[in-house]
Amino acid sequence: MADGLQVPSMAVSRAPYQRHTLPNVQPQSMPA
Amino acid sequence: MQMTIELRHLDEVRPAAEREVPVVTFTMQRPEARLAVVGEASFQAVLERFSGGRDEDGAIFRHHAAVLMPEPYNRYDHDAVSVRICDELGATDQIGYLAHDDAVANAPILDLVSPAIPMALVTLEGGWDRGPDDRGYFRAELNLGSPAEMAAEWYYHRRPPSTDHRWSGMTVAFVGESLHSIGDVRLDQEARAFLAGRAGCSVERYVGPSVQVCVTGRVEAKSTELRHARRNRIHVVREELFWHEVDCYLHTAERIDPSSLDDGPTSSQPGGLARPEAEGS
Repeated sequence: MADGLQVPSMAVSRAPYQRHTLPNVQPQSMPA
Repeated sequence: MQMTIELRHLDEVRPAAEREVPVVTFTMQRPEARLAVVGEASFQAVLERFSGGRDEDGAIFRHHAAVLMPEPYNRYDHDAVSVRICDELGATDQIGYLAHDDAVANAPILDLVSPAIPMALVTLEGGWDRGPDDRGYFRAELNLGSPAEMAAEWYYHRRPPSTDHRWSGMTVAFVGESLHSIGDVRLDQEARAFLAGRAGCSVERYVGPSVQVCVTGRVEAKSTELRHARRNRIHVVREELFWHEVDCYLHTAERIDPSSLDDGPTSSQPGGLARPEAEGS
């Protein structure tokens, strides 16, 4: 369980990191 | 009565660490840019949970969001910066630290984005499962470039450079150390390339045959690249003029004389842009 720090969930979902949770997808540079 | 008092004081006794911290998201760093995370060995359980399981190549889910959290009150190292992985609800768990030298190098960018903290892509490496005797430790790497590249992206999101200028679509090369900074972060080659690229220019690392504009920072007149540019009649422009015309208002390490914002003495067509001639002509 998280031990403290909380960040806006919108920041996590709006940034393109979510798509990288697919298996074996390589990171790539993406527009804002 | 007792309940009323507890409710009234609930927010006051809530630990500061549980409050939501704003973030600055970095999404445009070079794909190959890597910032190492250290100390993951102490956080294997967290990495295991975020991995979604293992296969023979490693974690099933390798890519996540992570934040950099300065720890000025860390009892062992006041420069410490912890790395915390984020779930989709915004809860975070520590997965390691930046190495001490990286933490010190990144202090200016952490100051720049403060009170927000940087968020970036983190990739889980290792963690393979090839049988009971061959299971890899999880490691983690952040997709972040130099502090200057981070500063350049931060600047870009606030004020994108203009693409409507006389060098748009042309190939440029930067020569000599930059005199320009974003906050306290001096531009490096990658940061210059990031901003110039967003200003519509192609960027070459060296002054070669494809280069049409040579942008000079702190450079000696006898510089090989500068001599090459002059010999090949490549347009030479001072860096302060370049940033000025592409609408980037950056700090400068040295005071700039406004009268210096011309094409410089090396322009072959004063007041205009000299197109380079074909190599060897």
